Amino acid sequence: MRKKLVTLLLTTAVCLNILSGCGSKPVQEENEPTVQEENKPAVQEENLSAEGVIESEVDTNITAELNIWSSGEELQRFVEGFNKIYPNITVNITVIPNKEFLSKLTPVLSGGKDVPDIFTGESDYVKYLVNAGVWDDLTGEPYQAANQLDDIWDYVKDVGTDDEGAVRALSWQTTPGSVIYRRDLAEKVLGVSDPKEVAAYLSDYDKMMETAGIFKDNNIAMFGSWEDVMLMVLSDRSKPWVVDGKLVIDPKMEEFLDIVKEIYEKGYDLNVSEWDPEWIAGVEGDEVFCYVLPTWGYSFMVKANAVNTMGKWGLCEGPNPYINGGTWLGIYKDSPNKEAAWAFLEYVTLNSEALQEYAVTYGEYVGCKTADDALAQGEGEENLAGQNLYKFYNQVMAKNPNVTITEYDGQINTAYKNAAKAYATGKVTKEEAIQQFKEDVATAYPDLVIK
Amino acid sequence: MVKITIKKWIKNILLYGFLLLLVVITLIPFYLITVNATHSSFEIVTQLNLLPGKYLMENYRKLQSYVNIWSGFFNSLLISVVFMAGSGYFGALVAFGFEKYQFKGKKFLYALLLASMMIPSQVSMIGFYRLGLKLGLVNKLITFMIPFFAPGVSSVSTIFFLRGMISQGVSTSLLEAARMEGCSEFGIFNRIVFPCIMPGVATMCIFNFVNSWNNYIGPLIMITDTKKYTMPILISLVKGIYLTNYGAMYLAVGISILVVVVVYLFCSKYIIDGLTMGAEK
Repeated sequence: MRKKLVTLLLTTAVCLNILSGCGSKPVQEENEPTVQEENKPAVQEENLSAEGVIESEVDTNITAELNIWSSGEELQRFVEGFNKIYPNITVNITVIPNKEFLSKLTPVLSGGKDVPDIFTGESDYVKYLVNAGVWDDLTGEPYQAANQLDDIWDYVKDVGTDDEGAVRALSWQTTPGSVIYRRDLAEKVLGVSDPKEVAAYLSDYDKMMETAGIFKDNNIAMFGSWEDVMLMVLSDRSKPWVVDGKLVIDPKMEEFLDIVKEIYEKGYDLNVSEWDPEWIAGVEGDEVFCYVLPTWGYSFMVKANAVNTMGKWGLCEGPNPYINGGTWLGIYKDSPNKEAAWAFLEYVTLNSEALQEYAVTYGEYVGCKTADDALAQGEGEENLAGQNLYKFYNQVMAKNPNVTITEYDGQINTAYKNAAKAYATGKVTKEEAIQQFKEDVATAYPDLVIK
Repeated sequence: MVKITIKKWIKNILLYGFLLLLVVITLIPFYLITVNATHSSFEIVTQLNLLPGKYLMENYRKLQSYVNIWSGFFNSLLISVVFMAGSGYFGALVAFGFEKYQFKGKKFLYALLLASMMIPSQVSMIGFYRLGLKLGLVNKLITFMIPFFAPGVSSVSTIFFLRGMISQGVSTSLLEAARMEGCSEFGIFNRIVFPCIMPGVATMCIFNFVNSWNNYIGPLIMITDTKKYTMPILISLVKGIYLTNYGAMYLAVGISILVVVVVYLFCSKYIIDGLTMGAEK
């Protein structure tokens, strides 16, 4: 009798495990309609009262609890100001390590329950989320954001727009690129330190490499790592990695391989990767002339680490204007708190005053044009010897750097870096490196057409 | 005579020299973590630090400003201790059942159990999450205290290991003797089998504790409430995307390995006993 009981218990336990793996679909289907039905009346009322009006007339008494998943800490900085306007909305932000963000999000999305009202997407995979249709169209009901988007930089809008033209995600930041250089080293080696004059030495890639040679003669590495330079070259392309399901290797990318080889062979960089300790330490030493990094690289890396070199930095343009990176946020399509979620998203991405305040406190270049314009009038930064970073980045944005972001970028960029490294170190020829790259991409994305 | 002593001396010096070298190699990472926890990020990236620095409190403040490391510490401790005890006791119980009882489908069930060991937990992640969702276990610490539910294979390996131990160390005649005396089947397990395989159970408990303490992806998928985050997730958060707080990271890692070091320190005796215990008793 006892034996049988044990068997029975074990069998049930095992069977439960197996069976419950599948078959959660019915639950999901049951859920969806109810959620939407609950939502609709409230949502329509909101529309009637708030159609096309400015923010001050919006109902600020919404009571809700918002769950937000973010891959970085930044969103938390907006909560205090947001709660001054919407005191009854509780904002719970869960920070999830960026590397595992999709691993955590995927099962939750497929389960369809306990999905956060708002979640972020980093530039590496934001396009994937935008096209996956998990975020609501912000130009549709109940948000009607279309008439508010003029104040947003095109980059933020374009990346957040899916293939059908629906705007599904927005961002508080824009991330134009710069060459972040050391004024004192420029003065010492080139005899000039003004951004415009230094930029003349970097007017095209040949000139840039020539300049790197001059620095090398003075025992200074031009770059922290050649990987930085790739961020700039990516915007030199006219086409993204993937067009109509086909892999495109722009001639500019092939030329870049030779640049990498030259940098490696002649020792124009520290021979380390981005984010390596040595790469970071270069900020405080005298052996690196510049970092080719966008806004985030300046505020999170250079500025954050500059203590002894405080005030010795400058921003200038490289051979081509570029833009790279960023974090977007969108509202989950079946969120029960769309009204409150939109209130938050609007505050974070469209509220020019809030963004100005944020930018003043944290020194980040933001996605809202009027905010950046206002800040460009202000005083310059101490670390940049008085240069105004908003003014500088506004100039870069005015040149409309090529936006080449696709949902495949994360893995393809990594594969290309590996190929470039193999070629630069002389392990393979250029043709072999490109062949290897194609094979790597084919492995990662079997659906892509690769010639 | 003299010759032999010298030979012995040389042998001992070589032997102890080698062992000493091994000790140093083993201790270096721990030493570096401790020392680096007292240095600023900049000192860590620019130089090799061998002596303690002055930034311990600074690092601690920085660490606490990002995450509440102690809440993660206690969450991890709670999960690991309960999981350890549960997987040890129930693992032994299941192993006992498989080894000493005959029932229909025994081979099949055991094969199923072993097969689950072969599947990497990453593969079953979505299924695992959905199962948790159905059982209402998402975002609850208890999820990771239930041994058989945990995504790790530790509890299956416990059964596997203990079954071998029972087959070698507990003879069927011993159980029959107990049965003749009128001991209940459950009593046989509790009073006779369990004490007999205690060293093995202790060994597996330690491994399970460490596995559970280090479990990263499981809690990350299942737990969303920041207050319930476990140690490995918090350490990963300290790292951040763009931030580079090496000092704070070293401190967090240092706090995390402290527990594991203590566990091994006090239980290493059991591990050695458990692993080396052979058929003879």
